[in-house]
Amino acid sequence: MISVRHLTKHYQVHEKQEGFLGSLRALFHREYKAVKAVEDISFEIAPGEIVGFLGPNGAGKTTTLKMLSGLLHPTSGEVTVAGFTPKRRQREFLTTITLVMGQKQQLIWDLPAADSFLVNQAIYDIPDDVYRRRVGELTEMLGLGGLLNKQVRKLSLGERMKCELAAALLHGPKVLFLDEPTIGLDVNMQQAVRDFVAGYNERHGATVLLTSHYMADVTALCRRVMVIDSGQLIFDGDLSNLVEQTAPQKLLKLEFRVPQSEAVLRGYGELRDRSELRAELRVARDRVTETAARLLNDLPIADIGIEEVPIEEIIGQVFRGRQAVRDAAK
Amino acid sequence: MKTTLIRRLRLARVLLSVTLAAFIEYRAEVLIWMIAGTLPLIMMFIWMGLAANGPVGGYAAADFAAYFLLVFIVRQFTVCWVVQPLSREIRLGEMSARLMRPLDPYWVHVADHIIALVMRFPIVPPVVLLGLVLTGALAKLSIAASPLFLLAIAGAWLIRFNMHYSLGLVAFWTDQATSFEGLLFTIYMVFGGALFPIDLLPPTAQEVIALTPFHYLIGFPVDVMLGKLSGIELLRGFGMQMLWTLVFIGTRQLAWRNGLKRYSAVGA
Repeated sequence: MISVRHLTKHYQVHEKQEGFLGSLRALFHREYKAVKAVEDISFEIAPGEIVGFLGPNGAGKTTTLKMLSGLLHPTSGEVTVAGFTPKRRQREFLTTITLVMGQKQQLIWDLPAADSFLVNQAIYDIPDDVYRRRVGELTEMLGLGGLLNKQVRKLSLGERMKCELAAALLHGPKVLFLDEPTIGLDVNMQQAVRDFVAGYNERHGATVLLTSHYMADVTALCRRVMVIDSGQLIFDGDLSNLVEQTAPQKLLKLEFRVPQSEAVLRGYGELRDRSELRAELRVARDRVTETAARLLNDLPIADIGIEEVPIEEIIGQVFRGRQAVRDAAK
Repeated sequence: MKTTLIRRLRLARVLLSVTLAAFIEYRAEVLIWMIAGTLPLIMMFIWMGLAANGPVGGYAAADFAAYFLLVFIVRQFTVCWVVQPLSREIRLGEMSARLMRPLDPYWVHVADHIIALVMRFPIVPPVVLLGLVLTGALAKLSIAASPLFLLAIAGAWLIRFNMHYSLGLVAFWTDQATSFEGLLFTIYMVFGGALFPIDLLPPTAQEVIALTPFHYLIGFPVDVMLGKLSGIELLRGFGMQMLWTLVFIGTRQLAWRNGLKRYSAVGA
């Protein structure tokens, strides 16, 4: 469904020094810096797949999404989405895809969302019966009842996001690019959007590529993740593989009946967090059971739990590791 | 072919009615914008004062009244503010959401501007008519030329809108597109004839101005309604309007196609 080969995007960024003198200098002598936003990335996404796109701010996630949706022209490389070249922006291509961006709106601010929906119906040329069915379905799945006839500016952020999402899906796209679809939403609303994306994918067999800061979005929706850093694709595969590959440790959560000293605990693994009666230890995967047994045997344990290291930490670790490698190379 | 036409007509109807609904939310502001366009009326009083003791360059007080009331009406029905919102959409990346839809954002701006004209209909013509009656200038108009006057206003609108849209698209290349707008406005007001009738100038200056697009934005439609132009002058005038319309539509399309390659969709 999506095929990306050697995709690269370089920007020219105009650099100005701060303050009035900097402005004056920029007037006569402009300095440009080339920013390599995306550097030679390649991947394929099959129809119906939900793929999570992870990476720190400025890693190139959004730039990639914008190239896939035809907003940005690549510096080099090839992109095909549903058989189309995005940058040509053909009508058939635009009716096949959608791009949802967290902060950006297409709804008309001073009118009820229903009016913006009508405009989209006309733009995408959606027959009346199909339109009614879709609005009904989206209303049900997103819980839009009563929202569509309220002025958009009077909606809460979460309500508006749901309406934006509905407006972006009215034309029944087969490919969804979701850029931070849950940003700024409260936990319940995040969950609602997540459930909706999963449901939409299931009902329509749509292909979904999403970026998110919230790891919960990714773990809930995506089996496959792509990790991008400084414009380069550094991991592409199963979420579980990412965890095993980069987190060779597991987390032992302990509760004691009697306070334990730091020195004692260090003997069992990497001590992460400790208070009087609690401690978290990181232990190599293959030694988890043995260590747990030893702990139970040696210490007055009240409770013990074995968990995966949180995915946030794993990703953070991957990036810190790469940064260290880069720093060493300099 | 036929279905494409039906689809476009339906789209136009929906776009215009929704735009109208949005404008009605802002009706007070629309009134204020109209009041902001009264400079020609101020110029009218100045020139009528100067002509109180005898005609100036062939213009009696009533001639100035007729001229500037027509300037007012032409300016009101060719109102164009597209540079600011368009360049903002480009610079701040707000264009992105619109670019995702299979409709050139151009048409959204066109709908905005057409509705602004519709909103002026109940107000501007009665005010101008009242002004013409009060100043005794009604007789200076060539009523038979009314259809041609409307045509000339349509031509002026097409030139002005596409000229400004092209200028707004400059935002793809530089952050300073809007600063050109002030310069363009000054040239437009002077060369267009909004401050004084162009035929008060020496003949050479008149000839030069007649080659620029600005004459066809105000001066030419006004002259049509005043019945000043012969058949051949009318033909030449409408020919020039068509030429400049094509030039600016071409400029806009060229700028659009090349600008999209540079679009950086910042923020969004």
